Amino acid sequence: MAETLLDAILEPGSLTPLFQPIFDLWSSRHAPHSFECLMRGPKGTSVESAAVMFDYVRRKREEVAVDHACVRAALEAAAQLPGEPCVAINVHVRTLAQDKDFVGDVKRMAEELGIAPWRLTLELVEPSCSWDAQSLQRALEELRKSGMRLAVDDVGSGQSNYSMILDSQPEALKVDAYLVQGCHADKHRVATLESIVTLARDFDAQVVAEGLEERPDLDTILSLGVRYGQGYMLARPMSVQALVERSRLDDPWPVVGTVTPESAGRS
Amino acid sequence: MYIQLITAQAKRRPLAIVVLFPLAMRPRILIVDDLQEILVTMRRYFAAHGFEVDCASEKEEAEALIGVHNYSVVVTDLQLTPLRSNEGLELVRLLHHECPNTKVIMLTAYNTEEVEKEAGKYGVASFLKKPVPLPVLHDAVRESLGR
Repeated sequence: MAETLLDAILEPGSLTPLFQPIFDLWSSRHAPHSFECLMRGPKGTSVESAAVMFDYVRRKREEVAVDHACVRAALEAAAQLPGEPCVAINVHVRTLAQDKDFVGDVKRMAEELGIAPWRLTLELVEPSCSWDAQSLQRALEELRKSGMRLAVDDVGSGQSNYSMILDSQPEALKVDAYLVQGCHADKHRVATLESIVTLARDFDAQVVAEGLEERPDLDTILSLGVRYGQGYMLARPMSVQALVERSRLDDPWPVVGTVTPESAGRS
Repeated sequence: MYIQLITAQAKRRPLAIVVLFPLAMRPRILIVDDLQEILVTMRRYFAAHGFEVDCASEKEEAEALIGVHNYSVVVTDLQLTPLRSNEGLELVRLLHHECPNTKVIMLTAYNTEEVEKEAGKYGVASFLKKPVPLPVLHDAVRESLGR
């Protein structure tokens, strides 16, 4: 039995990876564009919720060890997904800066599991902490050489800031749900979203709207030119088993069929 | 021995007492102690008395829970790690700054006037000397909630 909560988190098999589909909102194709892996902590503990678990881990300054465990769990689960979908995995910026072997380890683990690097995106999570900029740059360069992609998570909220976007030159900006939810009735949210879309265009990066839960927000997001989205109204996070079962259905993603750029007045 | 006694006391309380608080109004309580036996006993007791109960055995775990949930009351031991003294006070300071409406009850086996004074500065509602009989703690919780 694990002695501490951290031991429980690091125990093999204790983490539960779920996958939330990310959809191309401009496409009428009924299939996810990719998936984000969302981790859940050990069942029956206070850190079953990801928010509590990662806050705890950051306070313990154990991001490196836990990110390793999370990536392993995510990759092992991703290897079982039907088809060969692209998968995004969250990683603390501090882990990249502190552990010079991290990128190599991710690549090796992926290879062992038969997952090509182009299928992987590392989503940089940037909570309020400091890191060594040079070490981070080295890790980012290694990541680029490996063929994996980069995204900056929670853009527009918390600590996700312009310097990280500048330094990492990501392929995707994931817009925080805080900006997305309620945007249809808030001109200031719309203005902030517009600025992110413009920024992404200049960086040649995709924009992914997180936390889509209501049709009016989706319509607004589409009208702003955001192409990718995820959220409960499109699909909830699901286990590998649930995704495998869904893939056997004739029409596995009926909800997305109702979402087209035209329906929001965009062609 | 004392734990066994209060555990038995907790078991005697009928679960039907939950009706004291309608579900939507159940106050949420966080209990912080490094001893699992105490957490298990208190969880059972306060759940039986209509509270929504979370438990934490480390300061960082408590801080993470406080960041996500709104607690009506936090009951914390003063010393949470044998080798690090007065971690409970650090938690009290955090609550004072970030959750000023949360009531705090501090427990300690090593009551010192100095610590009690320090805790008082951060608005601790009660400072109780361990071992604390559960009904006494319950009274302190009720009092802090103004019930």
